Amino acid sequence: MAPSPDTLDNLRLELRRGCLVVAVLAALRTEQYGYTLRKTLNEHGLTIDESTLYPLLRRLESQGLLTSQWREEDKRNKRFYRLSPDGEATLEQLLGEWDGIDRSIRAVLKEHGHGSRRTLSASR
Amino acid sequence: MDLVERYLQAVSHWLPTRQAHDIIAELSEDIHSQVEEREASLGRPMTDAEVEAMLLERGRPMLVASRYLPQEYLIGPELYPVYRFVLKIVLLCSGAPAVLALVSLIVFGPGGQDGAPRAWLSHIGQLWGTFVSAVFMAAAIVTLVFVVLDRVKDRAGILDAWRPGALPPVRDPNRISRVGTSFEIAFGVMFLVWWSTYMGSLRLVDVRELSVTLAPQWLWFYWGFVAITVANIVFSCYNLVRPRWTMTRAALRLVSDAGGSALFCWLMVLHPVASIAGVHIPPDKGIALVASINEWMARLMPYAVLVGVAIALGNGYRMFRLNSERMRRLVGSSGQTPPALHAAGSRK
Repeated sequence: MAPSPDTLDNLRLELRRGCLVVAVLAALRTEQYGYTLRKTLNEHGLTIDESTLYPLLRRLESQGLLTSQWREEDKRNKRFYRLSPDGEATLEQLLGEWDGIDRSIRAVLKEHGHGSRRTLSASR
Repeated sequence: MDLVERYLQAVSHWLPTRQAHDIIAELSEDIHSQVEEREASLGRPMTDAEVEAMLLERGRPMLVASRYLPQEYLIGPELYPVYRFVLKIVLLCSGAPAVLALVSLIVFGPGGQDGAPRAWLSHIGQLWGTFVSAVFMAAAIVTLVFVVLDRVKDRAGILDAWRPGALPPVRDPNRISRVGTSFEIAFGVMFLVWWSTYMGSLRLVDVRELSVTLAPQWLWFYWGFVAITVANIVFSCYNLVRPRWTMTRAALRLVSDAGGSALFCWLMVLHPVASIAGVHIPPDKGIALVASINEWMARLMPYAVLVGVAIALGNGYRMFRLNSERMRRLVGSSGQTPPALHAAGSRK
């Protein structure tokens, strides 16, 4: 029986949640403000709406992983974010974790899921 | 842009004052960036309808604001299953007496025919009010207790203090408790002695001041109950030696309980009291008293039937469960499905 669209949506949402944090941290190695950051992520296929992105940015900043600064650009005040030194170290650790998970999943797929492995390879 | 300002104001309404200014400034900048980009691609200012569509896509202001707030709840997910369990029990206990009283009033009340319908309806209204307030009060108190527990659970270590060894043993519904069976035998023997000593005569009470005589049909009821009690004592003795339910024993228990229930229901409509006489009871009062007792017993008949049906359902469920387990074992032994957990436990 195929999963319902709702089930699939929820599972995708759970899977993407942690990945988005890594993507946001990685993208903010270069200083950006919210709107351009959202566009950057969209261009790379990571769609994120503003009501998810801005609360996430605030949370990461309160955790000390980002720094922010209000600055005027094109006659408008904009809040620019960038990765803090702590954020840089955390990102490295998360990328290590990411590689570990990727290796583990590939190993599991190699042993048990031929069809899924082909789908994964085809989508890359 | 009036729509955008109104939207921002609506979002701001749901935000904490300390953070509202900062969040709204950033949100405003994001919306204006989006408008600017859109207008550049259109080559003209956006219409109100287009702005409205854009804001609609961003979502309801309250929901947008809620994303910025920490997740808050009165009772967290750790305690919620316990809260639901306790609430069910408390609601049942607090609502059941009122429901019972309501049912009694409907069954035994005048029903608006020969009694006082307005008073009867007023009683039902009062009972309904009592039921609703009891249930609401119980729910409010339980909720309040759990809200407090949720706040102090980490400090008090409520959820940490547990030992695997203190967990209850695996339930085996087919095992018959020897303690319970011993009580059944003791109670059955005591009842039989009392029953045969005091209830075997039609002259139930026969002293100088008072005499109560039962109808001749009583003897059928009397001997029927003797037979069922003796059968139950023998049955319990066998259960004491072999304390496991089997299909045969479950069927025997169903027959015995059904027989007892049928006898009891019959007693209710038997008009078992024949006469009441006494030094201080005038004959017409005695006749009225007999009629009254017999009538009330007949009125209690629906309750006796309900109890009998409940007992039969319990016995029926036991037989159904035993049969299902037997089927599972048959299928399990052919390698299609594992046996049930309690069946595994019972083999130990």
